[in-house]
Amino acid sequence: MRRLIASGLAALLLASCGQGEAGGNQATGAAESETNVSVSPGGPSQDLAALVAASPRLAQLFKAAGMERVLAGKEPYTLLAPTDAALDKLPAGTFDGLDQPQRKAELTALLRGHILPGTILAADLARAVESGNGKATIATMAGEPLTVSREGETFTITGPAGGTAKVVGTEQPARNGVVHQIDTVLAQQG
Amino acid sequence: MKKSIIIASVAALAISAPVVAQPGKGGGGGGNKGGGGPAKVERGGGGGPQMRGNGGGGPKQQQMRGGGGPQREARGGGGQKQVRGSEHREVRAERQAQRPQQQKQRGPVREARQDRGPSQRELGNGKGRLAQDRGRSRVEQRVTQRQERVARDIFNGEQRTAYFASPAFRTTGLVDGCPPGLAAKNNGCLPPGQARKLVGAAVPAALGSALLPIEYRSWYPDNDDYFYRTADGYVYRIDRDRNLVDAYWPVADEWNGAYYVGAAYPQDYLGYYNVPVQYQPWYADTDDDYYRYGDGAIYQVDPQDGLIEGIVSLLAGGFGIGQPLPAGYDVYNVPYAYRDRYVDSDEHLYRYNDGNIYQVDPTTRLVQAIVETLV
Repeated sequence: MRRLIASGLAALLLASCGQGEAGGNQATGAAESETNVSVSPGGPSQDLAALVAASPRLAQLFKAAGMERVLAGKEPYTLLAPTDAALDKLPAGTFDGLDQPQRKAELTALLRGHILPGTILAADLARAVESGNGKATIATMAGEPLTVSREGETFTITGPAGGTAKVVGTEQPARNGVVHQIDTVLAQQG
Repeated sequence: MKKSIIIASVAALAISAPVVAQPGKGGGGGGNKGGGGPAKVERGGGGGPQMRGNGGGGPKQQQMRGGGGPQREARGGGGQKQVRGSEHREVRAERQAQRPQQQKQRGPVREARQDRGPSQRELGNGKGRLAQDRGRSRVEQRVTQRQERVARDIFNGEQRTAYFASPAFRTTGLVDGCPPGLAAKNNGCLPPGQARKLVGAAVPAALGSALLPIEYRSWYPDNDDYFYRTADGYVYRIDRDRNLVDAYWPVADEWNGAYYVGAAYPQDYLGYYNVPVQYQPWYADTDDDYYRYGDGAIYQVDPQDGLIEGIVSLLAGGFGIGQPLPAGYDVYNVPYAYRDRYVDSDEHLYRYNDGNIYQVDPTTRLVQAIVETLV
């Protein structure tokens, strides 16, 4: 089963990688920090679900996977949210049949690979990459960790299957975590 | 090219879907459970200090049983249902509309569930236990039979010695060796299906000392009512009062594609509330929804048909106190509300994982303690 899912996701990656590097990468605006970043209480009022709702197609994926409550709950997560441009790179038909149970396992695996435990701000990434001699690993909810590196002000995330995505735009703090937008969907490894 | 790839991918998934939908993944056996299990929710399992203990402790028995606890409050107040509100009801209605076909495919499972005895509503909560004791009396009737059968089949004579000498127990520092024919199976010596037979049986001596893997001990800490042990890839919950194994489920912390919305939660474990203790106040069973752990997530499950309705929480796998910090936690990830209190320094690192904030030694990278539980 894992192999089959892996092949499905690998296909997804192969299909998306062809256009991956051409995406409009931007600097992240990540702030350097010597200490852990503190966020004032009462700052972010929206939850992750509300932030994701701003991207209807991404929200559609979470809904199809039955994961809305993950984003609306109390537990903190960091979401690597593919931009609309990243979703555009996916092959035609990717969003077809998502109400079919057969597609849900694949979709669930894909989304889990974009969710990280806890709240990881851009400044936290910067500090970890700096102290890790240019690299840091971050766990995902799909099992295999991701590797983060930095070129100038831009973070690059390498997925378990070897694909890369760049963090674009600015982070969006949420009540229950934070959203970082990425320019490419990260495929998962089986 | 792209089109053909995705078509192949979807076709592969279509072929594989019936496989992943099979209940009982991981050796627990699938299909009909028959009599079901003594389904009950932990009694007052939540609470900060208790979560940090790995071997008992916690509040006094009277407090745990009489104090109600978060689950009872949630059930009584219907809190979670109200919180979810109309959006949840809409999603639920959508899924129910999709169900006729799914239920048709799962006919035998439904029949098996009907055999479990009176419903949760009919039984109520009994003597203060949070129970969905479907078919309780039926189960109790079988306890004696099971005890006799298990004792005869597994725990007597030479077989007993062989069982105790299984690799599963070897990892806990017990006897070496394994019966011929089972040694090569890479899943311990316990034959498939035998795990289920332990439910309702007296606790084998070896099981009594087979502690959970250390990373699970904060998820299922021993308390005044239950203690948790492991063998052959299963967690066994043991009722202290009766000294019986009263529940079991697979040890699994990594999602592998078996559980997704619309799939059936394995019938073998559906009757057993197995939400890790730190999440229990948030995810208590209600008349309308069960919450069950499996493979790195907590699922909302329909009690009537056993179908997974939603994923409510994702878990990455707990840290073990005294163990190295797992890969993937290079980055500070403490939630906002705790950042002022837990700041990385030369003396300590702090990392969030599965409802807890852990303190880590920056030099050795060993996990030192749970310093905060979010609930």
